[in-house]
Amino acid sequence: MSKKNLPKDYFTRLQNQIIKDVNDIDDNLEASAPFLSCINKVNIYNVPDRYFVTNERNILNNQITKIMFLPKKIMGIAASLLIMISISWVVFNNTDQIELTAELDETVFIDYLLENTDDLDNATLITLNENNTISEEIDFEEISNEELSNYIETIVDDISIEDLAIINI
Amino acid sequence: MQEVKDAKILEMLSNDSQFDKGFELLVQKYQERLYWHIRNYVHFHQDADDIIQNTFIKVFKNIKGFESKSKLYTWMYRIATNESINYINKNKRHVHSNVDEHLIEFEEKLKADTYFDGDAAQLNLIKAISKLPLKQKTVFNMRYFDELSYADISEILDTSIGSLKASYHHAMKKVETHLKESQSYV
Repeated sequence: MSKKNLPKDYFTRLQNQIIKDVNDIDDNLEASAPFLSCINKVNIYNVPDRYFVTNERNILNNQITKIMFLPKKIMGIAASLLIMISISWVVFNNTDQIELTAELDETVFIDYLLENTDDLDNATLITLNENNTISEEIDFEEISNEELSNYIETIVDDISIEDLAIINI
Repeated sequence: MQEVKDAKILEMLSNDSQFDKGFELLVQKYQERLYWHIRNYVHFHQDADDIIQNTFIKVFKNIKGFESKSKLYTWMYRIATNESINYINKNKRHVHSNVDEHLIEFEEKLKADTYFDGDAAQLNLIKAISKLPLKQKTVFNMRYFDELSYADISEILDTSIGSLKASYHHAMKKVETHLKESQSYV
């Protein structure tokens, strides 16, 4: 179709009409959408009793959220602490034979961290793993209870009460 | 209770010792608004409940990186919208051979829902909206139900105001046509 077959100023008027239509929807819903404007605009959904109180509590107490975003330092300390507690349990309860793997499987622990944390990269985890690897050549008979207690205390001193509460979740 | 200003909440969130309290105030201030936005999207309480949890986990995770380039609530709206879209896409259980079949199942499910109070006309409106393409549905919900300004929707969806007006216009026309046609069957 050539231009001369169109009414004069067709495109200008079309553009103005479209803009007017769009603005009318906001300014005059009754005229532009009479069926829609007849529908009562109220909230048609409801929620269980006290839902928003419960929901707020759920969000704030979300344990996964808290453990997911523990700082690296706390995660490292937590790992060390768990391993030390595990060792001390073995040392205090079994002096004949030491079986570290029975109490804490590091692979499982590292896998858990990998799956549940965004903050720890592989390099950090490897370092953490290396630092916490217990040499099988250590003679645990030579470690006194006092030395072990002192070591645990030095680690615990670095952790605040709040951190311990989070770790215990 | 007086609403705490966003600036105050952000100030608390940037301070480690006040972070927990700041996050609590953020949840108190925005959970309902975001919940209803999500609910208009997914219609069913159980779905909205899952999405609001995921939304706040994302907010929690990213709030320290929030740079105040946008308003706090438009930033959270964007997260809630994205979470809703992801949830819908993830939970598409089966594809219906035609739209009518899907609508019948949707209508039956909604009517049976304890937490739905709408009358026949309101149910019809929900059906009309559920037939819209995703972008038009998003814009329609934000403008019609949430009554957000085009400027805010533009910030949330990162789309020009002109494009949003066109989407809203198309959505409105389709909804109106659906309502008109279903009226003529009555």
